[in-house]
Amino acid sequence: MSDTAQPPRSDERSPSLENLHPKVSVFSAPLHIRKNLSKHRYLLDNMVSRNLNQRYDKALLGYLWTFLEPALLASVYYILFIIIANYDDKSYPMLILLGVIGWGLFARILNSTVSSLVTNAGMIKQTGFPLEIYSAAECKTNLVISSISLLTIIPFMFYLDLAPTVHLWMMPVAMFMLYLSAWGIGLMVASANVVFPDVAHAFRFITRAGFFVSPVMWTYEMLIERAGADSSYIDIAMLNPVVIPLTMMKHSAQGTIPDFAYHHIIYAAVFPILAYIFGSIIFTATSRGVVKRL
Amino acid sequence: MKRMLLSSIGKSTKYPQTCGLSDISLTINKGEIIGIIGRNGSGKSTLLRTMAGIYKPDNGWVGINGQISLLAGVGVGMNKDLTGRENIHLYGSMLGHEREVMDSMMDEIITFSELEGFIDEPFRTYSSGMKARLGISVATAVQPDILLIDEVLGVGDPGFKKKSQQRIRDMMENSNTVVLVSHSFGLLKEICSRMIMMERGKIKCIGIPEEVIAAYHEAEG
Repeated sequence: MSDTAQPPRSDERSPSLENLHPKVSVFSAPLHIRKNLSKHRYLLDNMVSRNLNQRYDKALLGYLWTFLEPALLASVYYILFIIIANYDDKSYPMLILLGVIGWGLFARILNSTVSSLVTNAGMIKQTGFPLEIYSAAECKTNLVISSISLLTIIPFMFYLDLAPTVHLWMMPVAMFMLYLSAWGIGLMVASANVVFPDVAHAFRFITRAGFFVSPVMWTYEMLIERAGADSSYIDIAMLNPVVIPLTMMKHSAQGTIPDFAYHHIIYAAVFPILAYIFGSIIFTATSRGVVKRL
Repeated sequence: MKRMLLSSIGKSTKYPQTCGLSDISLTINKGEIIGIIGRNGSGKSTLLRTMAGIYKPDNGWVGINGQISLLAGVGVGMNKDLTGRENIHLYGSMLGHEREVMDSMMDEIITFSELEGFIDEPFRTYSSGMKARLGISVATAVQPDILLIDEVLGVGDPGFKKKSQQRIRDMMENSNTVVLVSHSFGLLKEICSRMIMMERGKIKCIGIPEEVIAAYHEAEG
């Protein structure tokens, strides 16, 4: 028996051993996360099934609620805006519904990613798989739910006599932009939320307030009409990364192309990519280090 | 000569909410069964989780050679609303196994857990002993190169305990490496090739089971 560990201490690493925490360079962090998700695809699928199961399994109508909830919401909008308020634009309830679905996707992914480490603290301390899996599973779950919810607009399209057009391509692209922006921003601050729980509270407030400053209950065209196309207020409003994706979703159902300024389009296209790149860099560098604080 | 499978070298690994590890230098060879003992809060579980890659050392590094699985707690990661069968897939994937592997091992896992009549029932309807049996069955069905176990071998009825211990012995014979934290000295003495005693985040002593257990009793007074 020895009073110290055996064999004698050595800081030299054996070449046959794989370092459990290899250094990931800043530039390879986005790829590192993609590789991890690809490697753990089976786990990711199981976690998504679990999430969906948890949400609907005990309900009598089960998964039907993913469709029923927005359908009931749409009925309320129809009664409110078309029957009671007598709006001329019969498509308005559908536009609001699309805004609600798109915004819901963005807000849920953002909030769940911000708190992904804290929410899963128990499991994180017992399992060693990559930490980004937790938020990725939430993202995928919400993408599934939002995609099913989109089926609610089909009755509206029949009612409004809107035939599906090639412009429907904007729908998945817009949803991808919302998902990538929300996930990227969430990844940036998820580790900080472990140290400062106020972060999650702040983001919950931001997503509540964001509902009103995003084109959910209003449209991009209303904004242009009120402020004027050349107004500097438009540039400020367009800093909100969800304005263009939400507008794309609405136009894709209507079968029209929105009229955006080029610099706004470039900003909207680059924002999700940069959010993901910076989010993955920050998350890869910080997340494992904060596990001991959970 | 046995290949080195796992090495943990830490200079000052601090974990505020548990026990800070410091000056840990440890090499575990392929085929060894290592038992870790120590008082509550001495750093046993922290050391095990550092080996599993859950905690990142502030200094130093942890190196492994092969697939590693941690069995900690009863039914960790299993979902109460899923059936036992679905949880086998979920827990298996958490341990890093592929779908094909879990599909091929399904019958064996169900048989070993003795849950044939309950496997398609929701996990929430299981007793704690049944949950533990399912967890151990999944964790040990697909033999990882390195298996880390934290205090879960003492669960289940006496018959199942015996089966679990036999499986650990089988793993040893198959040259897999096992590191387990337990307070069951009788079990550790029986199955471990080496034991480690932890005290205040440091390795107090390391050696054959009889000597380390004696050192523990001596320290306890």
